[in-house]
Amino acid sequence: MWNIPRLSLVALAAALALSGCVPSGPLVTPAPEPSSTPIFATEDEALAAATAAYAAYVKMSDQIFMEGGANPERLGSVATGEQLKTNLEGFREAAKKRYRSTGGTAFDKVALQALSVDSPKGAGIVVVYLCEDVTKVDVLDDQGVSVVSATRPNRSGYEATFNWSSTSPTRLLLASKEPWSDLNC
Amino acid sequence: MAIVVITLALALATPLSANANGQCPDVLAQTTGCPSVGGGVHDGGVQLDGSITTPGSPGRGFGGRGSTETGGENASVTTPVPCAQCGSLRDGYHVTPNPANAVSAVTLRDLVNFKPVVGIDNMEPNGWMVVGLHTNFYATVNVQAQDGQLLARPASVQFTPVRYHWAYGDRTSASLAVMGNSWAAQGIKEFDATPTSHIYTAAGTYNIDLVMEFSAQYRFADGPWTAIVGTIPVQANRLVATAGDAKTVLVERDCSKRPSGPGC
Repeated sequence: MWNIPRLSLVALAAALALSGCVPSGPLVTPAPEPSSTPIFATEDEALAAATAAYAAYVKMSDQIFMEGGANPERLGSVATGEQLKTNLEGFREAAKKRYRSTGGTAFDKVALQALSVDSPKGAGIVVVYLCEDVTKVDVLDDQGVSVVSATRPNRSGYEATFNWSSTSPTRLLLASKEPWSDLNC
Repeated sequence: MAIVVITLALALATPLSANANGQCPDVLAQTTGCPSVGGGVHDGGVQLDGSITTPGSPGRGFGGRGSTETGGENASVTTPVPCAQCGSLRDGYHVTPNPANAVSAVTLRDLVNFKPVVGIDNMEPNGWMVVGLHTNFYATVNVQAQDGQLLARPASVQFTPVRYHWAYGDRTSASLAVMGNSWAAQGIKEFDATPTSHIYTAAGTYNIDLVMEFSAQYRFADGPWTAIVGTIPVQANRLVATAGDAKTVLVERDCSKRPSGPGC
Protein backbone atom coordinates (compact mmCIF):
# COMPACT_ATOMS: atom_id res chain seq x y z
CA MET A 1 0.00 0.00 0.00
CA TRP A 2 2.80 2.47 0.70
CA ASN A 3 4.48 1.75 -2.61
CA ILE A 4 2.38 4.18 -4.51
CA PRO A 5 2.91 7.24 -2.33
CA ARG A 6 6.60 6.51 -2.21
CA LEU A 7 6.74 6.29 -6.00
CA SER A 8 4.85 9.56 -6.18
CA LEU A 9 7.33 11.23 -3.89
CA VAL A 10 10.19 9.98 -6.03
CA ALA A 11 8.46 11.30 -9.13
CA LEU A 12 7.81 14.65 -7.46
CA ALA A 13 11.40 14.92 -6.35
CA ALA A 14 12.53 14.11 -9.88
CA ALA A 15 10.20 16.71 -11.32
CA LEU A 16 11.39 19.33 -8.88
CA ALA A 17 14.98 18.50 -9.67
CA LEU A 18 14.30 18.78 -13.39
CA SER A 19 12.60 22.12 -12.98
CA GLY A 20 15.31 23.40 -10.74
CA CYS A 21 12.83 24.01 -7.97
CA VAL A 22 14.45 21.97 -5.23
CA PRO A 23 14.56 24.25 -2.26
CA SER A 24 18.02 24.75 -0.92
CA GLY A 25 18.72 26.74 2.15
CA PRO A 26 16.21 28.78 4.05
CA LEU A 27 12.88 29.66 2.48
CA VAL A 28 12.80 33.11 1.00
CA THR A 29 9.58 34.82 0.15
CA PRO A 30 9.98 35.96 -3.46
CA ALA A 31 9.68 39.65 -4.08
CA PRO A 32 6.44 40.54 -5.89
CA GLU A 33 6.89 40.67 -9.63
CA PRO A 34 6.76 44.17 -11.03
CA SER A 35 3.25 44.74 -12.29
CA SER A 36 2.88 45.68 -15.92
CA THR A 37 -0.34 47.48 -15.06
CA PRO A 38 0.31 51.15 -14.58
CA ILE A 39 -1.54 52.96 -11.91
CA PHE A 40 -2.16 56.64 -11.84
CA ALA A 41 -2.51 57.78 -8.29
CA THR A 42 -5.29 60.19 -9.13
CA GLU A 43 -7.51 61.15 -12.02
CA ASP A 44 -5.68 64.45 -12.18
CA GLU A 45 -2.45 62.59 -12.68
CA ALA A 46 -4.00 60.57 -15.52
CA LEU A 47 -5.37 63.73 -17.09
CA ALA A 48 -2.00 65.42 -16.84
CA ALA A 49 -0.29 62.41 -18.43
CA ALA A 50 -2.84 62.31 -21.25
CA THR A 51 -2.42 66.04 -21.84
CA ALA A 52 1.35 65.67 -22.00
CA ALA A 53 1.08 62.66 -24.32
CA TYR A 54 -1.29 64.51 -26.61
CA ALA A 55 1.00 67.54 -26.69
CA ALA A 56 3.88 65.28 -27.71
CA TYR A 57 1.69 63.66 -30.32
CA VAL A 58 0.54 66.95 -31.85
CA LYS A 59 4.08 68.28 -31.93
CA MET A 60 5.37 65.23 -33.76
CA SER A 61 2.41 65.08 -36.15
CA ASP A 62 2.84 68.76 -37.02
CA GLN A 63 6.55 68.33 -37.54
CA ILE A 64 6.07 65.44 -39.95
CA PHE A 65 3.42 67.27 -41.97
CA MET A 66 5.51 70.47 -42.00
CA GLU A 67 8.26 68.39 -43.54
CA GLY A 68 5.91 67.15 -46.23
CA GLY A 69 5.25 63.78 -44.63
CA ALA A 70 8.92 62.81 -44.51
CA ASN A 71 9.85 59.89 -42.24
CA PRO A 72 6.34 59.43 -40.93
CA GLU A 73 7.40 56.43 -38.86
CA ARG A 74 8.63 58.97 -36.32
CA LEU A 75 5.02 59.10 -35.22
CA GLY A 76 5.55 55.67 -33.65
CA SER A 77 7.23 57.35 -30.68
CA VAL A 78 3.95 59.04 -29.73
CA ALA A 79 1.20 56.93 -31.30
CA THR A 80 0.30 53.30 -31.68
CA GLY A 81 -2.28 50.98 -33.20
CA GLU A 82 -5.02 52.39 -35.38
CA GLN A 83 -3.96 55.96 -34.75
CA LEU A 84 -0.47 55.28 -36.02
CA LYS A 85 -1.72 53.31 -39.01
CA THR A 86 -4.30 55.93 -39.99
CA ASN A 87 -1.81 58.74 -39.89
CA LEU A 88 1.00 56.88 -41.61
CA GLU A 89 -1.42 56.43 -44.51
CA GLY A 90 -2.39 60.08 -44.28
CA PHE A 91 1.20 61.28 -44.33
CA ARG A 92 2.08 59.00 -47.25
CA GLU A 93 -0.85 60.37 -49.20
CA ALA A 94 0.14 63.93 -48.31
CA ALA A 95 3.71 63.22 -49.44
CA LYS A 96 2.44 61.82 -52.71
CA LYS A 97 0.37 64.94 -53.28
CA ARG A 98 3.32 67.11 -52.18
CA TYR A 99 1.29 68.77 -49.47
CA ARG A 100 2.92 70.29 -46.43
CA SER A 101 1.62 72.26 -43.51
CA THR A 102 2.65 75.42 -41.79
CA GLY A 103 1.67 76.65 -38.37
CA GLY A 104 0.97 74.57 -35.34
CA THR A 105 -1.99 72.63 -34.04
CA ALA A 106 -3.34 73.65 -30.66
CA PHE A 107 -5.71 71.89 -28.31
CA ASP A 108 -7.60 72.67 -25.15
CA LYS A 109 -10.54 71.67 -22.99
CA VAL A 110 -8.98 68.31 -22.22
CA ALA A 111 -11.43 66.42 -20.00
CA LEU A 112 -11.11 62.94 -18.58
CA GLN A 113 -13.71 60.51 -19.86
CA ALA A 114 -12.42 57.24 -18.45
CA LEU A 115 -9.52 55.88 -16.45
CA SER A 116 -9.21 52.09 -16.47
CA VAL A 117 -6.24 51.26 -14.29
CA ASP A 118 -6.84 47.52 -14.54
CA SER A 119 -7.28 47.32 -18.31
CA PRO A 120 -5.37 44.37 -19.78
CA LYS A 121 -1.87 45.38 -20.87
CA GLY A 122 -2.80 49.00 -20.34
CA ALA A 123 -4.85 49.20 -23.55
CA GLY A 124 -7.19 52.16 -23.52
CA ILE A 125 -6.11 53.01 -20.00
CA VAL A 126 -7.02 56.67 -20.37
CA VAL A 127 -9.70 58.21 -22.55
CA VAL A 128 -10.17 61.95 -22.79
CA TYR A 129 -12.26 64.42 -24.69
CA LEU A 130 -10.55 67.44 -26.13
CA CYS A 131 -10.92 70.26 -28.58
CA GLU A 132 -8.35 70.66 -31.31
CA ASP A 133 -7.71 73.96 -32.99
CA VAL A 134 -6.11 74.09 -36.45
CA THR A 135 -6.77 77.79 -37.01
CA LYS A 136 -3.07 78.51 -37.43
CA VAL A 137 -2.46 75.54 -39.67
CA ASP A 138 -2.29 76.07 -43.40
CA VAL A 139 -1.79 73.26 -45.88
CA LEU A 140 0.11 74.16 -49.03
CA ASP A 141 0.67 72.32 -52.27
CA ASP A 142 4.04 72.24 -54.00
CA GLN A 143 3.29 75.60 -55.60
CA GLY A 144 2.81 77.12 -52.18
CA VAL A 145 -0.91 77.53 -52.76
CA SER A 146 -3.21 76.79 -49.87
CA VAL A 147 -5.39 73.71 -50.34
CA VAL A 148 -7.34 74.23 -47.15
CA SER A 149 -11.04 73.88 -47.77
CA ALA A 150 -13.21 76.90 -47.11
CA THR A 151 -15.40 74.60 -45.07
CA ARG A 152 -12.66 73.20 -42.83
CA PRO A 153 -13.71 73.47 -39.21
CA ASN A 154 -10.96 75.23 -37.32
CA ARG A 155 -12.06 73.71 -34.06
CA SER A 156 -13.11 70.08 -33.71
CA GLY A 157 -13.91 67.79 -30.82
CA TYR A 158 -12.27 64.41 -30.41
CA GLU A 159 -12.32 61.44 -28.15
CA ALA A 160 -8.71 60.38 -27.66
CA THR A 161 -7.77 56.96 -26.32
CA PHE A 162 -4.33 56.20 -24.92
CA ASN A 163 -2.46 52.98 -24.32
CA TRP A 164 0.10 52.54 -21.60
CA SER A 165 3.70 52.40 -22.75
CA SER A 166 6.61 51.78 -20.41
CA THR A 167 8.98 53.08 -23.08
CA SER A 168 7.24 56.38 -23.68
CA PRO A 169 8.50 59.40 -21.73
CA THR A 170 4.89 60.46 -21.28
CA ARG A 171 3.91 56.89 -20.28
CA LEU A 172 1.02 57.04 -22.77
CA LEU A 173 0.74 56.61 -26.53
CA LEU A 174 -2.21 57.88 -28.54
CA ALA A 175 -4.08 54.80 -29.75
CA SER A 176 -7.11 56.35 -31.41
CA LYS A 177 -8.67 59.70 -31.98
CA GLU A 178 -12.22 59.87 -33.21
CA PRO A 179 -14.23 62.94 -34.14
CA TRP A 180 -16.68 63.73 -31.35
CA SER A 181 -19.44 66.11 -32.23
CA ASP A 182 -20.97 67.27 -29.02
CA LEU A 183 -18.15 68.91 -27.15
CA ASN A 184 -19.03 72.54 -27.84
CA CYS A 185 -15.62 73.12 -29.26
CA MET B 1 -34.76 81.69 -39.66
CA ALA B 2 -33.84 81.58 -43.29
CA ILE B 3 -32.47 78.43 -44.82
CA VAL B 4 -29.97 79.22 -47.46
CA VAL B 5 -28.94 76.64 -49.97
CA ILE B 6 -25.62 77.20 -51.60
CA THR B 7 -23.62 75.07 -53.89
CA LEU B 8 -20.03 74.94 -52.88
CA ALA B 9 -17.34 74.32 -55.40
CA LEU B 10 -14.59 72.98 -53.22
CA ALA B 11 -11.20 74.30 -54.11
CA LEU B 12 -9.63 70.93 -53.43
CA ALA B 13 -9.06 69.21 -56.70
CA THR B 14 -7.60 66.14 -55.06
CA PRO B 15 -9.10 65.71 -51.63
CA LEU B 16 -7.33 63.59 -49.08
CA SER B 17 -9.04 60.45 -47.96
CA ALA B 18 -10.93 59.68 -44.82
CA ASN B 19 -9.92 56.48 -43.18
CA ALA B 20 -11.47 53.28 -41.91
CA ASN B 21 -13.07 52.86 -38.50
CA GLY B 22 -14.24 56.43 -38.27
CA GLN B 23 -10.68 57.61 -37.89
CA CYS B 24 -9.58 60.74 -39.63
CA PRO B 25 -5.92 61.39 -40.29
CA ASP B 26 -4.53 64.69 -39.06
CA VAL B 27 -3.70 65.76 -42.59
CA LEU B 28 -7.38 65.47 -43.51
CA ALA B 29 -8.56 67.28 -40.39
CA GLN B 30 -6.17 70.10 -41.24
CA THR B 31 -7.10 70.27 -44.90
CA THR B 32 -10.85 69.72 -45.23
CA GLY B 33 -12.01 68.64 -41.81
CA CYS B 34 -13.37 65.31 -40.64
CA PRO B 35 -16.87 64.69 -41.91
CA SER B 36 -19.54 63.06 -39.82
CA VAL B 37 -21.52 60.56 -41.86
CA GLY B 38 -24.43 58.31 -40.98
CA GLY B 39 -26.85 56.15 -42.92
CA GLY B 40 -30.41 55.04 -42.32
CA VAL B 41 -33.46 53.60 -43.98
CA HIS B 42 -35.63 56.41 -45.27
CA ASP B 43 -38.62 56.56 -47.57
CA GLY B 44 -38.13 53.23 -49.30
CA GLY B 45 -34.41 53.66 -49.69
CA VAL B 46 -31.23 54.57 -47.92
CA GLN B 47 -30.35 58.09 -46.92
CA LEU B 48 -26.78 59.02 -46.17
CA ASP B 49 -26.38 62.12 -44.10
CA GLY B 50 -23.07 63.89 -43.85
CA SER B 51 -22.23 67.04 -41.96
CA ILE B 52 -19.33 69.26 -41.15
CA THR B 53 -19.79 71.86 -38.48
CA THR B 54 -17.86 75.06 -38.41
CA PRO B 55 -18.08 76.64 -35.00
CA GLY B 56 -17.99 80.24 -36.14
CA SER B 57 -15.10 82.47 -35.26
CA PRO B 58 -12.12 80.51 -34.05
CA GLY B 59 -11.28 80.71 -30.43
CA ARG B 60 -14.71 81.88 -29.43
CA GLY B 61 -17.51 80.11 -27.73
CA PHE B 62 -16.01 79.04 -24.44
CA GLY B 63 -16.79 82.09 -22.39
CA GLY B 64 -15.51 81.72 -18.87
CA ARG B 65 -16.14 78.03 -18.59
CA GLY B 66 -13.46 75.88 -17.13
CA SER B 67 -11.62 73.21 -19.01
CA THR B 68 -13.37 70.45 -17.09
CA GLU B 69 -16.81 71.53 -18.15
CA THR B 70 -17.48 68.56 -20.40
CA GLY B 71 -15.75 65.98 -18.26
CA GLY B 72 -17.14 62.74 -17.00
CA GLU B 73 -20.05 60.81 -18.33
CA ASN B 74 -22.10 63.85 -19.20
CA ALA B 75 -20.10 64.38 -22.33
CA SER B 76 -20.45 60.89 -23.76
CA VAL B 77 -22.92 61.69 -26.49
CA THR B 78 -22.53 59.75 -29.69
CA THR B 79 -25.13 61.38 -31.87
CA PRO B 80 -23.90 63.32 -34.89
CA VAL B 81 -24.12 67.04 -34.99
CA PRO B 82 -27.78 67.94 -34.69
CA CYS B 83 -29.17 69.98 -37.51
CA ALA B 84 -32.76 70.70 -36.59
CA GLN B 85 -32.92 73.81 -38.70
CA CYS B 86 -31.38 72.37 -41.81
CA GLY B 87 -34.67 71.29 -43.36
CA SER B 88 -34.77 68.42 -45.76
CA LEU B 89 -33.45 70.02 -48.89
CA ARG B 90 -31.49 67.83 -51.21
CA ASP B 91 -28.92 68.03 -53.90
CA GLY B 92 -26.53 70.46 -52.39
CA TYR B 93 -25.15 71.65 -49.14
CA HIS B 94 -27.38 72.95 -46.47
CA VAL B 95 -26.22 75.92 -44.57
CA THR B 96 -27.97 77.25 -41.54
CA PRO B 97 -26.52 80.58 -40.61
CA ASN B 98 -27.78 82.61 -37.73
CA PRO B 99 -27.61 86.22 -38.91
CA ALA B 100 -28.26 87.54 -35.43
CA ASN B 101 -25.08 86.07 -34.06
CA ALA B 102 -22.04 85.98 -36.28
CA VAL B 103 -20.12 83.57 -34.10
CA SER B 104 -22.75 80.84 -33.90
CA ALA B 105 -22.08 77.47 -35.43
CA VAL B 106 -22.69 76.83 -39.10
CA THR B 107 -23.47 73.31 -40.13
CA LEU B 108 -22.85 72.17 -43.65
CA ARG B 109 -25.08 69.25 -44.30
CA ASP B 110 -25.44 67.03 -47.30
CA LEU B 111 -27.95 64.31 -47.97
CA VAL B 112 -27.92 61.70 -50.65
CA ASN B 113 -30.58 59.09 -51.29
CA PHE B 114 -30.29 55.68 -52.84
CA LYS B 115 -33.09 53.31 -53.75
CA PRO B 116 -32.77 49.67 -54.67
CA VAL B 117 -33.63 48.75 -58.22
CA VAL B 118 -36.85 46.76 -58.28
CA GLY B 119 -36.37 43.09 -59.06
CA ILE B 120 -38.58 40.98 -61.30
CA ASP B 121 -40.71 38.03 -60.32
CA ASN B 122 -41.20 35.18 -62.75
CA MET B 123 -43.31 32.07 -62.96
CA GLU B 124 -43.27 28.77 -64.77
CA PRO B 125 -45.38 27.96 -66.66
CA ASN B 126 -45.59 31.57 -67.71
CA GLY B 127 -49.05 32.97 -67.09
CA TRP B 128 -50.85 29.78 -66.18
CA MET B 129 -50.75 26.91 -63.77
CA VAL B 130 -52.22 23.47 -63.39
CA VAL B 131 -54.35 22.82 -60.34
CA GLY B 132 -52.66 20.28 -58.13
CA LEU B 133 -49.25 20.63 -59.74
CA HIS B 134 -46.30 22.76 -58.74
CA THR B 135 -45.99 26.23 -60.19
CA ASN B 136 -42.44 27.50 -60.00
CA PHE B 137 -42.12 31.12 -58.85
CA TYR B 138 -38.74 32.81 -58.74
CA ALA B 139 -37.24 36.27 -58.50
CA THR B 140 -34.58 37.90 -60.61
CA VAL B 141 -32.52 40.46 -58.73
CA ASN B 142 -28.87 41.18 -58.12
CA VAL B 143 -26.74 42.65 -55.41
CA GLN B 144 -26.60 46.29 -56.40
CA ALA B 145 -23.90 48.81 -55.70
CA GLN B 146 -24.83 52.40 -56.33
CA ASP B 147 -22.46 55.33 -56.26
CA GLY B 148 -23.01 58.94 -55.44
CA GLN B 149 -21.42 61.96 -53.87
CA LEU B 150 -21.69 63.17 -50.31
CA LEU B 151 -19.87 66.27 -49.10
CA ALA B 152 -18.01 66.18 -52.44
CA ARG B 153 -16.65 62.74 -51.67
CA PRO B 154 -17.58 59.35 -53.10
CA ALA B 155 -20.34 57.53 -51.26
CA SER B 156 -21.75 54.13 -52.15
CA VAL B 157 -24.62 52.00 -51.01
CA GLN B 158 -24.94 48.29 -51.66
CA PHE B 159 -28.33 46.62 -51.57
CA THR B 160 -28.57 42.88 -50.99
CA PRO B 161 -31.88 41.01 -51.34
CA VAL B 162 -32.40 39.03 -48.16
CA ARG B 163 -36.03 37.92 -48.15
CA TYR B 164 -38.84 37.32 -50.61
CA HIS B 165 -42.45 37.66 -49.52
CA TRP B 166 -44.81 36.00 -51.97
CA ALA B 167 -48.56 36.52 -51.89
CA TYR B 168 -49.99 33.88 -54.19
CA GLY B 169 -53.44 35.40 -54.54
CA ASP B 170 -55.16 32.32 -53.13
CA ARG B 171 -54.99 33.69 -49.58
CA THR B 172 -51.72 31.92 -49.00
CA SER B 173 -48.31 33.47 -48.79
CA ALA B 174 -44.73 32.51 -48.16
CA SER B 175 -41.72 34.35 -46.83
CA LEU B 176 -38.61 32.80 -48.29
CA ALA B 177 -34.91 33.36 -47.91
CA VAL B 178 -34.12 32.10 -51.42
CA MET B 179 -35.00 33.77 -54.68
CA GLY B 180 -35.49 30.50 -56.59
CA ASN B 181 -34.64 29.71 -60.17
CA SER B 182 -36.13 28.25 -63.30
CA TRP B 183 -36.71 24.55 -63.64
CA ALA B 184 -34.15 24.38 -66.42
CA ALA B 185 -31.50 26.17 -64.36
CA GLN B 186 -32.08 23.77 -61.50
CA GLY B 187 -31.81 20.80 -63.86
CA ILE B 188 -35.18 19.38 -62.97
CA LYS B 189 -38.33 18.59 -64.89
CA GLU B 190 -41.30 20.87 -65.40
CA PHE B 191 -43.85 20.78 -62.59
CA ASP B 192 -41.26 19.41 -60.17
CA ALA B 193 -41.25 20.86 -56.70
CA THR B 194 -38.72 23.63 -56.04
CA PRO B 195 -37.89 25.55 -52.86
CA THR B 196 -40.04 28.36 -54.20
CA SER B 197 -42.88 26.49 -55.92
CA HIS B 198 -46.52 26.67 -54.96
CA ILE B 199 -49.54 24.44 -55.62
CA TYR B 200 -52.93 25.93 -56.42
CA THR B 201 -55.89 23.86 -55.34
CA ALA B 202 -58.66 25.58 -57.25
CA ALA B 203 -59.14 26.87 -60.76
CA GLY B 204 -59.34 30.60 -61.26
CA THR B 205 -57.39 33.72 -62.04
CA TYR B 206 -54.87 34.83 -59.45
CA ASN B 207 -52.81 37.94 -58.78
CA ILE B 208 -49.36 37.07 -57.51
CA ASP B 209 -47.37 39.75 -55.73
CA LEU B 210 -43.80 39.76 -54.52
CA VAL B 211 -42.15 42.07 -52.03
CA MET B 212 -38.38 41.84 -51.92
CA GLU B 213 -36.67 42.87 -48.75
CA PHE B 214 -33.22 44.41 -49.08
CA SER B 215 -30.53 44.93 -46.52
CA ALA B 216 -28.12 47.77 -47.17
CA GLN B 217 -24.66 48.87 -46.31
CA TYR B 218 -22.78 52.02 -47.16
CA ARG B 219 -19.27 53.28 -47.47
CA PHE B 220 -17.95 56.79 -47.52
CA ALA B 221 -14.70 58.08 -48.97
CA ASP B 222 -12.99 54.70 -49.34
CA GLY B 223 -13.85 53.75 -45.77
CA PRO B 224 -15.15 50.35 -44.73
CA TRP B 225 -18.61 49.05 -45.55
CA THR B 226 -20.97 49.83 -42.70
CA ALA B 227 -24.27 48.00 -42.26
CA ILE B 228 -27.44 50.06 -42.09
CA VAL B 229 -29.96 49.06 -39.47
CA GLY B 230 -33.25 47.87 -40.91
CA THR B 231 -34.36 46.52 -44.27
CA ILE B 232 -36.08 48.07 -47.24
CA PRO B 233 -39.14 46.35 -48.69
CA VAL B 234 -39.64 46.87 -52.41
CA GLN B 235 -42.72 45.80 -54.31
CA ALA B 236 -41.96 43.93 -57.52
CA ASN B 237 -44.23 43.50 -60.53
CA ARG B 238 -47.59 41.73 -60.23
CA LEU B 239 -48.17 38.50 -62.08
CA VAL B 240 -51.67 37.62 -63.25
CA ALA B 241 -52.15 33.98 -64.09
CA THR B 242 -54.92 31.48 -64.62
CA ALA B 243 -55.07 28.10 -62.98
CA GLY B 244 -57.00 25.37 -64.71
CA ASP B 245 -57.57 21.67 -64.44
CA ALA B 246 -55.25 19.57 -66.48
CA LYS B 247 -58.09 18.72 -68.85
CA THR B 248 -58.67 22.28 -69.90
CA VAL B 249 -55.11 23.42 -70.19
CA LEU B 250 -53.83 24.27 -73.62
CA VAL B 251 -50.79 22.29 -74.57
CA GLU B 252 -47.79 23.89 -76.06
CA ARG B 253 -47.43 21.39 -78.89
CA ASP B 254 -49.06 18.24 -80.14
CA CYS B 255 -48.92 15.74 -77.30
CA SER B 256 -48.20 12.92 -79.71
CA LYS B 257 -45.09 14.72 -80.93
CA ARG B 258 -44.00 15.89 -77.47
CA PRO B 259 -45.55 13.62 -74.87
CA SER B 260 -43.58 15.20 -72.07
CA GLY B 261 -44.91 18.69 -72.83
CA PRO B 262 -47.08 20.55 -70.30
CA GLY B 263 -50.57 19.18 -70.05
CA CYS B 264 -49.94 15.96 -71.97
